[in-house]
Amino acid sequence: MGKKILIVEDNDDDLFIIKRYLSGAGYNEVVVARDVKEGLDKAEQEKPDLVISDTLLPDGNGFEVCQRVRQKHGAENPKIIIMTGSIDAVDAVKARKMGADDYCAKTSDCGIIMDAVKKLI
Amino acid sequence: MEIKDGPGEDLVKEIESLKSKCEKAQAELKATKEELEVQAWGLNKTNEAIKVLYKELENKNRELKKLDDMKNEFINTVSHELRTPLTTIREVIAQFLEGILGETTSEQKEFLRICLEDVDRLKRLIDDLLDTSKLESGKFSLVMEWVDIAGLAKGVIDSFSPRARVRNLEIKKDLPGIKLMAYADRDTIVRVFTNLIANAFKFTDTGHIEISVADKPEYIECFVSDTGKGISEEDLPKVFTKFQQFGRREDVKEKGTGLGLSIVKNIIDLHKGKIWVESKLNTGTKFTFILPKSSQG
Ligand SMILES: Nc1ncnc2c1ncn2[C@@H]1O[C@H](COP(=O)(O)OP(=O)(O)OP(=O)(O)O)[C@@H](O)[C@H]1O
Ligand SMILES: [Mg+2]
Repeated sequence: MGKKILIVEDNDDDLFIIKRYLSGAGYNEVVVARDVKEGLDKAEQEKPDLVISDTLLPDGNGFEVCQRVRQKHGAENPKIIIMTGSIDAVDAVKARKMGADDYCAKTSDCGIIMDAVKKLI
Repeated sequence: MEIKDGPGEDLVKEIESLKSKCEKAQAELKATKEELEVQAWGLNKTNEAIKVLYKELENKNRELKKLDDMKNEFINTVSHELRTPLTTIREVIAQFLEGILGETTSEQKEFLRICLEDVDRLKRLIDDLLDTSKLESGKFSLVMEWVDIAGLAKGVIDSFSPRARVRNLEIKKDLPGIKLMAYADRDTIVRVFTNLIANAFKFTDTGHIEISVADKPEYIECFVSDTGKGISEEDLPKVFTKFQQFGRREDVKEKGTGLGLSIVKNIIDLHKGKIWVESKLNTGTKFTFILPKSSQG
């Protein structure tokens, strides 16, 4: 497949589950960042095809990650998914306006996120 | 001839201005449409996620329910298996005590009596567990008939009078001289009175225990009150929850499991009645319940 994915997530449990489902679907090139700053650095160094970011991060939020990645790397690539544990229509709109390609709820089988990933890359 | 181009020029200007207004309006419309599309997209995303999450919850719920059923099934089986040998043991001890199985010394009799008490306690505990699991799995079925609640209460109270004498506690009863009929399950209502009065005895050292049965237009109102150690305000909301017991246990002679009141509450609920409690620490406790005369009404 050869697609590289950057996950920006601070929660160990969530991270573990998402990584498991991604590798289960054949996405083996996964890079992890634990906060906004690390996320932006890795987006620069690793040139991922897709960024999946949590909404709430220790030093900021996923919308920031999204906005700044778009400012730096343009509107097309990388693809960006904002994921959240507490879905909210206002947040969904915000994500879209910041240039996210999708906004997904975390579920126990990561079904919604995995569908979005397969659609985008 | 002079051609007046004045009006023509005005017209062109007006058309120009109209055109620009139109373009502006169109741009605004387009922006609004885009905004609406984004909003709709957001709503749609949220909707879909809620649907998935709801399904997930439903599945979890079903799993929990299944586990709960398994637990009840387990308690049911174990209780039955425990009860059968216990009945045999009880019968043998009783026959020894009665001298049917040969002579026993008074010292041996004393030990046998202790055994019998413990066996009875164990049996009560198993019955409580069995009933709780039946009540929880909805398998508890009432045998409804017209029952004289006043007479029933008197019977239960009388069975406690030896205990009142030993404990030096006065039983006050306020029963009507006439029958008070309700459509109810006799055995379970006996259980309600027995459990409440047993609690009153268990948690009262001095004073009295009062039992009242009174006629009201639609229902029968009963209470069991005592002058015992009471229940703190903090613990009061938890009294009907199973396995809840409060205060120091060392000063209570007859230990229990905390199932009594949860069974009482379940029984009253099944009769479409109500039960509530008032209490003051170190002063006393009063349990009141009402039973509809006819639960269909
Ligand atoms: N009349 C009362 N006065 C003071 N405390 C009471 C009274 N009735 C109940 N309680 C408190 O509520 C708790 C729960 O009562 P419940 O009848 O459910 O359990 P139990 O009597 O401890 O055990 P079991 O009835 O299963 O033998 C008791 O342990 C006691 O702390
Ligand atoms: Mg009790």
